[in-house]
Amino acid sequence: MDLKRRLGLIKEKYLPSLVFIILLVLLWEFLVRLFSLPEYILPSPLMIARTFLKFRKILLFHTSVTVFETLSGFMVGAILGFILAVFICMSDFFYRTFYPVLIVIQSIPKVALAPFFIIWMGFGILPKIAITVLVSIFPVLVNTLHGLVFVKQELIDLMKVFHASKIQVLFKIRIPSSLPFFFTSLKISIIFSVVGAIIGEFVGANKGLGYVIMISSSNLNTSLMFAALFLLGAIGVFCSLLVSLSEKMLLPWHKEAKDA
Amino acid sequence: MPEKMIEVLKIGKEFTNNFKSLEVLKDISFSVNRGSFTSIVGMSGCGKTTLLKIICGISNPYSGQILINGEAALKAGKNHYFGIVFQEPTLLPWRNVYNNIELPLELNSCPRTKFKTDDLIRLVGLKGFEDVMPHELSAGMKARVAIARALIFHPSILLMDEAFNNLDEITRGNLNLELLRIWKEIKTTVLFVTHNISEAIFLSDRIIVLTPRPGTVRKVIDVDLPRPRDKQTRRLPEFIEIVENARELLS
Ligand SMILES: Nc1ncnc2c1ncn2[C@@H]1O[C@H](COP(=O)(O)OP(=O)(O)OP(=O)(O)O)[C@@H](O)[C@H]1O
Ligand SMILES: [Mg+2]
Repeated sequence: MDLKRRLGLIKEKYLPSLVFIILLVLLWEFLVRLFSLPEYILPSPLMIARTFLKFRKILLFHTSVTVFETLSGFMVGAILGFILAVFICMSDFFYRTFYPVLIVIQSIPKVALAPFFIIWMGFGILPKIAITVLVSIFPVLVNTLHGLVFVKQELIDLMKVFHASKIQVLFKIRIPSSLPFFFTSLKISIIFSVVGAIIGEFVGANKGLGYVIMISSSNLNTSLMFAALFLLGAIGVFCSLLVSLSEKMLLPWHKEAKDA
Repeated sequence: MPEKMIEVLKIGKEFTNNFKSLEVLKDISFSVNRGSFTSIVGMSGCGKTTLLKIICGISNPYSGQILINGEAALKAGKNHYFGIVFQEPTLLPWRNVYNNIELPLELNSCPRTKFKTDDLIRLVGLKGFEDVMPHELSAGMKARVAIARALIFHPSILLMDEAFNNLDEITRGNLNLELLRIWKEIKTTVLFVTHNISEAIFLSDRIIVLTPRPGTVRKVIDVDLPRPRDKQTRRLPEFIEIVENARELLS
């Protein structure tokens, strides 16, 4: 595909939602002015932008803290989740024991444990990372495990005909087939991680966007709060894109198989 | 060397799950001569796939006995008597054509007679497609890859489970011809499962007709059409007669 056609496609794909967002922002600005709402109730987009520019250095610092917590927890969680899934899939006994337990744990909102982590680990960055690990590990574990276990029977039969060992089946069939599931779960986990980091900061912190949101809301500085919120959204979008991009690069066979 | 390559002796198979049992195969006996082309035809669900899996030793347990080359089947499996083409092409989507064909080589480090992958690719007519990924292949080409992969260890028995089922009439006819050419070239014993009666008759020396579930042998038809067979074969009056007779048997 040449660049021009590519750009054309992107335009076709994203233009409608872009226009929609712009219209929404304009409507917002218009309504705030129409009813002349005070800033502490709902700041207009223009005010938020102004605040953003004014505090950009500080905001950037707090953003980097949150990004660091999010990504480091996410990576540890993803790697641990993957390794655990591989271990569990290797044994029928482990699978039968742990799978139901995992499903139950997955439906518990683990962010509710945030206060405990603060108690155990203090106010620093560590408890936030721990929460992030905790929330990101389960989607990866459960989805990857599913992908590892539910492999096409014919592929397993094929391996049996050639007397493949369990390890060979794992590396040549199970792990590759589970990778699409793994990447799907990463997309869920990365969003969970952002939420995990923020909740950790809400509960007790002296830096990070969650901290900024807490402080600015208690000062009724709604503009600053919204600026932080938008940055948070941007982090989410950026991280999701990162995951999608790495999926496209690492699993070309999967993406194209879907397109076809 | 015994003349009989495969002997199927009173094979029976039941699947049991959730306290229900399903009898799939019942008292099946037949034999396959060395170097011959034999087809199994029968209605969907009569246990053809199951029978192939029992023969190559990947569906246990079962009653009865399988002799391969005069030996009990379990030992035979270890010696790589079998190449198998499954009902679905079952290629690994993350490997290109070349690496899919070579997969069996990676699984077995011990030395045994094998084809050179390049020769095999030429044999099945995939030259120039070595680097192509499975999702970029047509169904016919996928079938060719699956055949090449099954042949890599130069198996003395090639099992094929409805390998050409998803193909249009013309591709199917072409692949039938090519299969006969490959069979002649590598001189292996073929056991071929199909729904398609005229395909079975066109290819085979002998046809095993199974009854609906539980599958038993309804009839064994010997096909005495001359070889080599080509497009003209299907027009021979003898061919048409055998097809008619076999149709009646199945309906
Ligand atoms: N692993 C299994 N567990 C339980 N039942 C099975 C299993 N495999 C096959 N069966 C049942 O055995 C019967 C025969 O299946 P089989 O796949 O051998 O039929 P087939 O003749 O190959 O059919 P088709 O022509 O549609 O491929 C079917 O009713 C199927 O539901
Ligand atoms: Mg079948």
